[in-house]
Amino acid sequence: MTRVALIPCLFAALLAGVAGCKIIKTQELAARAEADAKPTAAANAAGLWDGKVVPYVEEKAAPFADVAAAAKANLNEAGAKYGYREAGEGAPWNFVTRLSGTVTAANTQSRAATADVDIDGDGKPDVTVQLGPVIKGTSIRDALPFVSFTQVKNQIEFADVAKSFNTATYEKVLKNLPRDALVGRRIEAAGVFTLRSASEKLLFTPVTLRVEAPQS
Amino acid sequence: MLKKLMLTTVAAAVFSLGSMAAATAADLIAIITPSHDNPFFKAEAEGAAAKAKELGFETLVLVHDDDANKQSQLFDTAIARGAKAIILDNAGAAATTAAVQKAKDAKIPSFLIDREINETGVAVSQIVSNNYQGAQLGAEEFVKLMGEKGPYAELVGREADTNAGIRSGGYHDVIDQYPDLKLVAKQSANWSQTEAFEKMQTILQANPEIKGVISGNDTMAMGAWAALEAAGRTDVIVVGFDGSNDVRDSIKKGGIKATVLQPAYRQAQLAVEQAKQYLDTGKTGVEEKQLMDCVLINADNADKLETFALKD
Repeated sequence: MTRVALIPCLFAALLAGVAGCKIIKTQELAARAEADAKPTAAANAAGLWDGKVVPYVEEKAAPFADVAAAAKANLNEAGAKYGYREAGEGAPWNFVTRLSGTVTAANTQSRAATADVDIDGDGKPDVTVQLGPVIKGTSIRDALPFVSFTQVKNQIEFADVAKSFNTATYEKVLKNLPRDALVGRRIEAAGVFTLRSASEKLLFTPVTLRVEAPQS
Repeated sequence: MLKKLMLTTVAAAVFSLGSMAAATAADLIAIITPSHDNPFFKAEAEGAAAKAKELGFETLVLVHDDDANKQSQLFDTAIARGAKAIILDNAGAAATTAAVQKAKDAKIPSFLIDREINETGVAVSQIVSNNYQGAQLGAEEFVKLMGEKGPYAELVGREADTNAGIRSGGYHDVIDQYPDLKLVAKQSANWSQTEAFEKMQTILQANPEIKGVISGNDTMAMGAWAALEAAGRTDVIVVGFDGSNDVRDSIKKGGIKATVLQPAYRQAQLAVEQAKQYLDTGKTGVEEKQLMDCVLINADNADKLETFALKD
């Protein structure tokens, strides 16, 4: 019975297949296969994290206080000395820095969670550190000279590259932090921030982060 | 009659030869954009033309009306006229590569503004606004204005244009973090004011509860606002993208709430500067694909906005 039913079915499928068939040039097929086989820009970016992104940031990071002071005095000079930007005019400066300090406050209710950190020891926060899961901006992508807009297909892919770096830092660095026990603890981090103007508030995105054990 | 016509033709040919010889004194730059009906493209064309004249070029200003076939013909015109470079805001990413390649084969470099293509190495420069950054700015303002909740509609641009996709993506990467903001309608109005007016009327009928509209550009925002005004729904929050003088004026009157400025005028000038550099030295000195940041415009800084540029 099943078999009898199957045969007309097969026949119908065959007919439908022929009727719906379209002639496609082998060249076009090859191009499609190539496009399908090509890894996405975002997947490529995620693969760079351990081997290239973290080592670059670790090596390149300048002391946060020096960079912040220089940027406040003259953003373009600080950019030329410490920063990086791929395009010239109309593009903000990106800085790779290292900081250590004490968490004075943490906003962990928001999905874009942050911690305020006092670096100079005066009890007042000097920088806001992003904790995720929502990481704002594209600072990690934009601080890396080996990641270029010209390498990818278009802005949509380039945005995906930035998102995959933000996801990587959340998954590998920030996810397992004791986020509700951060206030009062010392942290050490290397990471990036982006400045469009000297007066802009500093928003630091970590690429590495270590929380010191509470002092007993 | 025929003889007379032929003579005229010969005379015209001689004349054009003469003008070609003279053209070496002032090289020609072709400036090709979508229709100037949208002030954004008009500003681009004017910015490019002003800079070209300043740098001693003749200009040939053409519009393709977002028609890829027409764009291809305009490239033929530019090539036939002996243009030394082409400044282009294109008629769709996929259809444009062939036209730019055609110019390249004729040894004419192209400098793209506003809209990119999906290939590199065909155009010399592609200078585009950082639409992802700009869309996130617009979306953050929209979320704030909406009080992080309520039903809203989205008007999307023309699908063939990468900018439609990237702006919508940037909007949602921010807005979708707020579960109480509910997208009830998402439609393309193809960047058009009249289409947006009609789409907004339909959306309003089906979803009278909407509190906000986020639009992929300013002309669609203007169309949506006109429909909302006509329906007595000036309580609806509208946010656009481009930074046009029309939306600036609406913001100042308390109509549309915000937009995102693309530095269109400067972007077009920068493309001409890079063309000049390239023609003089054989290179631009910068990467092919370049992003320029956008700026949020609301009631706080609308006064400083004039023709797609912010006064200091």
